[in-house]
Amino acid sequence: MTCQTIMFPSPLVIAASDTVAQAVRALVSHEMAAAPVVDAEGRLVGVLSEQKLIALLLPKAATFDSFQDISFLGDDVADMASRFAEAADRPAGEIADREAAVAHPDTSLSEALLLIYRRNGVLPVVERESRALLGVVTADRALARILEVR
Amino acid sequence: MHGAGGDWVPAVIFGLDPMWFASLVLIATYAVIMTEKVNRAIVALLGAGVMILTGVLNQAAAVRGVDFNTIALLTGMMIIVAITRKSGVFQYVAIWSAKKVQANPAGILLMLQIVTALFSALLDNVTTVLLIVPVTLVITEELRVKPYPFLVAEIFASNIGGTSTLIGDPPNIIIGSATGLTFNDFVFNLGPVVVVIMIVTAALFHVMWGRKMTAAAADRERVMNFNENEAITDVRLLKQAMFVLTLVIGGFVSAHALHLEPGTIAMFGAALLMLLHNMGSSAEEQSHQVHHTFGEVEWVTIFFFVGLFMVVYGVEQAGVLRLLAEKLVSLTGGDLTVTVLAILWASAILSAVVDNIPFVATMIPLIKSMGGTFGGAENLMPLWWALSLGACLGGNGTLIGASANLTVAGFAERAGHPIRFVPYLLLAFPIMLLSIAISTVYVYWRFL
Repeated sequence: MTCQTIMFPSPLVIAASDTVAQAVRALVSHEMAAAPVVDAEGRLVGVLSEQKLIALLLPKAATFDSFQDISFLGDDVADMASRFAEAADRPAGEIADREAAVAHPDTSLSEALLLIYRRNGVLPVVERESRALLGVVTADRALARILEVR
Repeated sequence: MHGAGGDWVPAVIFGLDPMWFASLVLIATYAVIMTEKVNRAIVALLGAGVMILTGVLNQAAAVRGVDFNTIALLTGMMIIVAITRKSGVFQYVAIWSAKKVQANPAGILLMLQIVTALFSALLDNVTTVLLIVPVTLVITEELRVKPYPFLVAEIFASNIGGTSTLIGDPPNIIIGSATGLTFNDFVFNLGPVVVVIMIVTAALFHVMWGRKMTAAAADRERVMNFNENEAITDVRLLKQAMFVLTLVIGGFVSAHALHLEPGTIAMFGAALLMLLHNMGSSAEEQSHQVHHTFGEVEWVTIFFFVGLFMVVYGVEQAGVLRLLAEKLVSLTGGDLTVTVLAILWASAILSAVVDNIPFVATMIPLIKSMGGTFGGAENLMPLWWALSLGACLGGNGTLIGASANLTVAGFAERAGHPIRFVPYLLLAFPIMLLSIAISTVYVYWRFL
């Protein structure tokens, strides 16, 4: 079994030019934790995850691994919301994780499972040369397909 | 490092002349380090290997060349800092200082320079900026002010502050170790001029940047709402770390009277803090924590030093440095004042462009061999202070002049406010020259 057989071919996709606010609405309405971001030609730009969106609530430097604990910032929710509002109109492509792991149609199932295990969220499956998005492998879908076999 | 020759007589393969062959290895090592194409630790170790394989040194001679006091001091302090930083005390001080000035940007600019300079005097510069810069970026982001002035001012403060003590900057560690100059010697002889340079630099930054900075009341309020007490993550660890740090600094101050080398003090302090930190943990937890602590030691720097000491020792054994020293003395006409000023300015300008550690490591045996010309080792004092001031302060001149500068630049890049090479050079090089001019007046007035 390869990624080709297990992937979901028509996942939720976010356009790189969509705003962050639009992307959040799409993720929430589809109950997804992450989604692939593609350019106008359908090539993968990166993955937009809740993790990246959460970071928009905090000062940028506070997310550096230099801090053991950032409780000193105080928990002003209005501040967090206003920080997010400043980023809301930025294109989703800017926020997406461009270094997110990807799989190819012939990537083995074991390798795909390991990639999902390490970077929880969605694993985009792209064409080797063009990086055209073919589908995604998600944890729940992989689990369901594998348990079906028994 | 230590002048005593040892019993090894260089015998280079193919009967090559040890003197020019060793010089060639040194120059090649320098050149490859400068290209930054190969990691400097690899280059130094390869250079050391070549010195041994070709017979300039044998292994025993090469090991004799390594200044283990410097290695122990560096490693010990790295371990102490790796544990101490977990307590959050450095963030506490940075936030506390920002609130002391009512989160007014000009005041914060000044306070963070003072904090950086003080930490740099007691810790190494890279560690200091690693701790201070992220908090600075959070504060400037909340104040909605450009971080650039703060980051540049912190680069300067770290290099200036580090100049004032034996442990503040690697060149001082090597100079102190090779000459037996104590922690107190450095503070008494370099402290006064460092304070003056810091005041002048801070005043300059205030005029250039600080006085024009403004922040909205609401943004300042956000910083005032920071709770520095929350930054302390582990009170027990904080107490342990402060106890050991006090003991170690006390040890440095009284090292001379106790006939102890700084390396012993730092390494003992490191072992003691690790003991306290691991007390009450299971064997498994201990092995995990100790493994993690050792992992935080910058081994690249340590192995770079080891290799470099061997390369320089090879050159020294081959007699190259004595020859160079004679040439330098004859160039300056054997005049102490001229030699001191030449070393001060040449060290500053060279340290701005090349790594100051290999430069200082090479200069030490060279200066030592001038003892005869100037009537004994005790007359070399002004030369050591000139070398320290030049090498440490020179690092401010360019973005690649010191490791701390590159660390700050790395953070700036990640935060989306990159510091560019040329604009930094145009700003920093003249300010660096000003600090050397102040040092010139000081050295002349105090030591000549």
